[in-house]
Amino acid sequence: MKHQSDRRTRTFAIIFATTLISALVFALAPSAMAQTTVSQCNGTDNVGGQAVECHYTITNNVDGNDTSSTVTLNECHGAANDPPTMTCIPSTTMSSQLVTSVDQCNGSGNGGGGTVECTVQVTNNITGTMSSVAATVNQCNASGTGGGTAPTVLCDPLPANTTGATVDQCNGSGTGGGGTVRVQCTVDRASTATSIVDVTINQCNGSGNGGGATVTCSAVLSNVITAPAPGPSASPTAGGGGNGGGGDSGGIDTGQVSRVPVGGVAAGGGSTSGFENMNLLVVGLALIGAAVATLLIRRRSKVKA
Amino acid sequence: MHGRRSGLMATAVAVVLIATGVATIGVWIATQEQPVQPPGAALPSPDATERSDATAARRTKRTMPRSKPVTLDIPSINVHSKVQRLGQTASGALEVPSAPHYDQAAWYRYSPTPGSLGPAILLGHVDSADNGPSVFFRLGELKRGDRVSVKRANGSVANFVVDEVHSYSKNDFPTKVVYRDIDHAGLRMITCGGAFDDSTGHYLNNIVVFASLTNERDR
Repeated sequence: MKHQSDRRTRTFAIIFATTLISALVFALAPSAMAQTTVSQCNGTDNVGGQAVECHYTITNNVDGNDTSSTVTLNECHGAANDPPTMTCIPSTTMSSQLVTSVDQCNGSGNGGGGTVECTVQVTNNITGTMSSVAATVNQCNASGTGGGTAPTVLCDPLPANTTGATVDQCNGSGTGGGGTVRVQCTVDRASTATSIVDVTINQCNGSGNGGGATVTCSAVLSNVITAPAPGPSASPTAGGGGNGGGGDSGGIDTGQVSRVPVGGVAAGGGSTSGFENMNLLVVGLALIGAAVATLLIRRRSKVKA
Repeated sequence: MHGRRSGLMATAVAVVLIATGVATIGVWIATQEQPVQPPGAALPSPDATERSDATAARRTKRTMPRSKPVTLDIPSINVHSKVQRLGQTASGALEVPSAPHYDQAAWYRYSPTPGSLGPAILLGHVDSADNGPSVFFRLGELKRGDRVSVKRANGSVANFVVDEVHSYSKNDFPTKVVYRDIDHAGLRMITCGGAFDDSTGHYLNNIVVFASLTNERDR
């Protein structure tokens, strides 16, 4: 019995230690760029006749290792189909962290006749030489079900069912039956994505599922890529420059110097700013001290005599 | 008579001791070397490296194929060093050479190789607490027009001519000026300089030498 108890204690100790070490490793792992998630209007206004309307406008800036972001949001709640009476709370936040995940209006407006209207606009201003690709979309799947006059769903692009997409919205929404075109969602077809600022948008999923509820959501994701400040008369597109190899973490690709280091260089130990060969000084002072002692002894002998 | 003689003897001994002591201290003072600091700390103007001066005339738009640096030679300050390859620390700062290669120059491997398009970055220590002057102890002595040669792994030699030498506060290091893209094959050599902060054990400045590839061969 005691043996079993000891074994259990040991097992718990191992699990605890493993967890602690994992947490420490995770916490101390260097991050190339500080990133953050913003979220609002999730799981709210689920009583019949309520409306939720939320908007994010996000600007990320990346220049070398310098990052910053500005997030403007407007969160409104009130009665459905009565915009003038809605109460809105706007705010703007600036940060050195990049916003790479937007999560809003999920599981909301699920009462009968509820309305959900949400938008996200993300602009990444990147100084560098990387390229962007078209944003992938997963939207309006398993939505607009439960009856009603077709089309109940009006989405663009559609079909759009990429796994792990950049924009994931309006899935499993508007399933309570009701009017025509009750799920209306768009992703700007010019939206792009980059590996440098890998933004994901997740909104309006599992929302507006009461009878007669509507869901209207849109997303725009832009990447404005500017070549790094060139040298005099430099051609930003000229040649590859023979950049160094990859491998280390930290930093981002910005051009000829592929990972721009942070700050100055600690390239000195400092001995030459202090004192070298202190033994020479000690010997010199000792010799002078001996001379003084010799003179003092001689003077004392003279006085005695 | 005997007392007087011994007194003279004692005085003579004291004089010799004082003279020797003073000479010893003089030698000690003379051995306290200080790294030379470049005259100015101002940032190069945006067009500094495009000036139509003597060094600009010696610069070439030619670039060399990528090949990693092997050795560095700067005859005017008696630098002859193997070149290590370093990256970044976890905090994103430049790595610096450590023992047993503390006194060798190093190439920042995320920069272009010397001779290829862009700013190749070389760095080295100015000194060390244990061994005194290090590979870039005299970097601040370089002047516009001085020559720098980098032998590369493929056997070729990239010859550079010094454009500018500056001292920048580490707290306000001009990252964009030093690491920005350029339209020619450039070289940036970085070490410590300025005043020494006893409380931190570090110099307050960085000395940065800006150089450009030249067509001229070693003289």
